[in-house]
Amino acid sequence: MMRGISLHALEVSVPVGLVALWWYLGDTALTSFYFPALRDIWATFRATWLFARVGSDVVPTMTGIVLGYATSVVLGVTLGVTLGGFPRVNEFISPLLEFFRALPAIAAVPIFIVLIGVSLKMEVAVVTFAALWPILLNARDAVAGVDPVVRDTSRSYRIRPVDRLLRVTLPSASPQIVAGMRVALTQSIVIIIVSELIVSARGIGHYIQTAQWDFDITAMWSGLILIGLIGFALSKLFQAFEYKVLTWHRGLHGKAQR
Amino acid sequence: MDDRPETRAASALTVDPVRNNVAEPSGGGNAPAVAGGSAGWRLWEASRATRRGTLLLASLLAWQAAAATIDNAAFPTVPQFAAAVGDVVSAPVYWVSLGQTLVAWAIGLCAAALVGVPTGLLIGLNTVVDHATRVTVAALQAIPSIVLVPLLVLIYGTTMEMKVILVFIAAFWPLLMQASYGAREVDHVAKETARSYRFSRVDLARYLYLPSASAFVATGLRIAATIALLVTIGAEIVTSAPGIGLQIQLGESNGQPARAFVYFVTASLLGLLIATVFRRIERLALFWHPAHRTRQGR
Repeated sequence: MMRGISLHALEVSVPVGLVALWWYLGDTALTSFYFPALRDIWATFRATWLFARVGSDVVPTMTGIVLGYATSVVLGVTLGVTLGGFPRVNEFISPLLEFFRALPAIAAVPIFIVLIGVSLKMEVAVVTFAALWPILLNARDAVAGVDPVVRDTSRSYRIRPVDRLLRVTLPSASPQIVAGMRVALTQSIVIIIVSELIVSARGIGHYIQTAQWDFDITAMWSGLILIGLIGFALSKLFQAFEYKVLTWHRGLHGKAQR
Repeated sequence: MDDRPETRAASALTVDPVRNNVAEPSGGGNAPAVAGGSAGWRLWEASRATRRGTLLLASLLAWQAAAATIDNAAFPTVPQFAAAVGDVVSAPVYWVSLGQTLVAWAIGLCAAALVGVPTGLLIGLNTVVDHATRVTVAALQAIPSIVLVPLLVLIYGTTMEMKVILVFIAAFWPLLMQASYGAREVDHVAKETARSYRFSRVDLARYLYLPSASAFVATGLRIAATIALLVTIGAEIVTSAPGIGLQIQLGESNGQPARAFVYFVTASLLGLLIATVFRRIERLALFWHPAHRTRQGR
């Protein structure tokens, strides 16, 4: 018991200690041009992100992520589930889908920029293009991999197709679909930042890029930390979502493993 | 059922459990026998090459149709693309760029494996280290490493070093995470057995931990290899460091979208090649893994 408590204390104290160390080292002479004191970064962070530039930079970035991600979830699940129901079509088209999944979506950003122009539409399109494939292919594989016994049983009981989809296929496919959605979420963040770094008039990536041009290292660090926090927060949020959606799955799984 | 154990390994790992279905024709469903089919249908069913060829043709037609509909100079037609392929591939720049991208990718990935795997094993084996690093690792690995590009560029310039360091950071986390899972997931009974037989530390590592972790490390390698390619090309696009990414960017900004497309398709094929090779490595590592065998018993 004591050991458990002290281990948890250790978990929390190490990151706190590291931040404190960085803060303390900033007060001594151990800073450099590229690694400014945490105290200065924090001052800039407060002046910039709490909450002066939230409306002008954070909101556009988040809008791009949310819209693009939502589009790819809707498209990916719909197409993937449909495709999973047609093994022959699936087998035929599979190599093309594998090609799209393997391509580094970042490489498509310059193409989208020239094709659509710098706009929210472009950001949403490019995020969708990047995040669609992991969701689509996972949904497809999950549906194709539904236990044949379960599938045939529900079919022979003449359960209506709608019920079969909503109560049999989707639930049993959900763990893998959620896994695809997790991969897609990180993709979305990376893609939006890259497209803002390349060319943009607003957004956190744009802020970092401008700070770099001005050699304003402290401002750059504040942007880096903000994106780190957003990435961390989104992954925590997703974990909570996953926990909620897949509670039933964990229960079954736990029992099966004694 | 070949790729099943992977599901188990990967889902426990909370990472991309993307599966490929290629080895499992018609997605596991029993295709009804084509008794009454025509000769054409039977040929279709029998020959994978026919289906692949048709798909390629259909994709090209779809591309052409899309290009005609969009009618934007930035989206080349198939003939324009085909003409550009010859041009681009015959120039040395193409091969030099390919090399510049691949070298950064390879060095960064190897370095990340050399540091990340042992660190991950240590974390997985030692409870205290595990708890001490847990929150910090979770926080750091959630940061998209591509945001470090502006900082690294200021320090190192648009150089190979910049790319290698970025690849190292990006590939380090998945390798560390997977290796730590691998060390943690060693079968309890096997561990107790080995202990009661008084295995030496070396033998424990050799016969218990390394084999058990290798499957997880292979998964980590596949994920890391893909991410590494992504950030290499991303860094080249953002900073104009030489490589395939720069060529895509140059093609687009010089109004030569067909050339940009050639490099884009090259990057995609590279991604496909890397994914295929590393998935094969993963299969080899999983082939004899206990998870693979016990699975059938459950």
